[in-house]
Amino acid sequence: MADTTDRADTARPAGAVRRALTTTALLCALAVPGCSAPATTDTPSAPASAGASGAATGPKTGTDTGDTGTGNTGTGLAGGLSGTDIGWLQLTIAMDDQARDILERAPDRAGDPALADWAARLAAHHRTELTALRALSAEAGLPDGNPHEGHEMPGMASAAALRELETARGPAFDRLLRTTLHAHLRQTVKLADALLAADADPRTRELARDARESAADAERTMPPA
Amino acid sequence: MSVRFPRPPTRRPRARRAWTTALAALGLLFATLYAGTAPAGTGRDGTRIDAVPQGAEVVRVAEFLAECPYSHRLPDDPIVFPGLPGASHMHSFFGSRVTNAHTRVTDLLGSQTTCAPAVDTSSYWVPTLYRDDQPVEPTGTTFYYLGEGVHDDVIQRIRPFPQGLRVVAGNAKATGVNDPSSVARWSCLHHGEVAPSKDFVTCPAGSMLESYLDFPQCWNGKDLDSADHQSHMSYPVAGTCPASHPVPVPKLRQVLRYPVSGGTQGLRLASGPGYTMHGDFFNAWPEAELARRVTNCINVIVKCGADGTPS
Repeated sequence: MADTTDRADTARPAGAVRRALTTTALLCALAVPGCSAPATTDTPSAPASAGASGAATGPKTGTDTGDTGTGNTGTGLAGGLSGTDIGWLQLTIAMDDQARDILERAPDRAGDPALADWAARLAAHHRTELTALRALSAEAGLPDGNPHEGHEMPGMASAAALRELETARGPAFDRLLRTTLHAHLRQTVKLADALLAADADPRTRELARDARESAADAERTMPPA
Repeated sequence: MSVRFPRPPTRRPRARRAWTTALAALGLLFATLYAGTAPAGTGRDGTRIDAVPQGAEVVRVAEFLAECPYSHRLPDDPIVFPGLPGASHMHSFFGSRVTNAHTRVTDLLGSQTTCAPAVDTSSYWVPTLYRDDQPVEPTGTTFYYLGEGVHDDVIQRIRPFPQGLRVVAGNAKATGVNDPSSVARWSCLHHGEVAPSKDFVTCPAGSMLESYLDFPQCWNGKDLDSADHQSHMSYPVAGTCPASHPVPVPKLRQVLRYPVSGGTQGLRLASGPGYTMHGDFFNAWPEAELARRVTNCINVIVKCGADGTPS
């Protein structure tokens, strides 16, 4: 059976020029808002539309800012948000929603009262955070749901873990809660850091800063086993 | 030759009837040789010839392809999570060797690729397959570009994908084996008696687990992507592209063959059960190379190989 061998490809001489242009575009995009990049950007055959729903508050990213070094798909996406913003927003909503659901069971199921208290407080915080996340999502006219609904995602409880959580009580519940929430909180910090390192919308950046701070805090204050 | 074949109405002069009969006989011979349990479907093994016993013509196939072996694995997705490394479940990448969360089309163009032809620097990816928590990568990795699923007059109008187009296929809301939004199908190589399924199937020893995935082939003509990464593309309706997505583009059919057989226990995708299979395509074909193939292979309904010339 054929092996997955490399197919050696000779580097194209134009690559160096292209990289130079891309670097210029990157510097341009980061240093000077509204600075236009050289013509290596995504260009669809016709001008891109204003976005999936047309709802538009706040500045638009423009039709083709896609390849100006922002990681932005820049194809006329929703209401001023880039692909990075949207990806982060939809994923964080999904993660927070699942975590909230798990946390809300703790008062009835947890064995450790301190853990139950911690969980109740964190559940309340998640409800507040979700309201803010969904508000931005609605403002930007994003569709409900996310492209990975029904898929297993890092930082989210697996289908097997969710089944266990349905019936677990006392120390067994506590163990599951700690494991799933550790993963959730760690991934929340990681994703927020990634968003803050990208060229993101100020509204998303603010939400990411809050999410990161509270997730790090929750990790720190989780009552030990 | 004593066998008589029913002849379709023809405007050919009478003197050509003997040749017509001979060609029809050849057609029937080929049909006999290549018939079998292989289900209908273009390009399944790359060597199939369709024949109609009645007529002198072989059924025409509009096709070109790229063979792109496995390149690398990352929990990244530059379409759904651009700029967010580690946000995704594990993906296996084919084609461009540089793809990660930060990739833009300018990074892909001219990049090192596993594809033959080496001009195809597009990136293709799927959720990684695991057997007992060990990743298993496909050893058969063929990306067919087809002119099918639409009427012949639409095939003639098929246009190249715009450079930088992002296309996602597969259900976003996988809920189970009967989910009608799933376009993924698992089957067994050379064993059509195993009914294809939206979930993993048990393949006989010596066979391979195959994944077929058909990408949408109608583009809205404007956007390289959309907020849900699907709305700018559509599948055809009644053999044509709907008014909402009027531009026909080649149908990408991703065929992966995994060195997996036997029972399905221990099998999972990074995204979950087999019915969560999905695929992503980030187009970075050089424009001239893609246009040439669309013109010479798709629009004229000719089967071409990886080099884009008739095979």
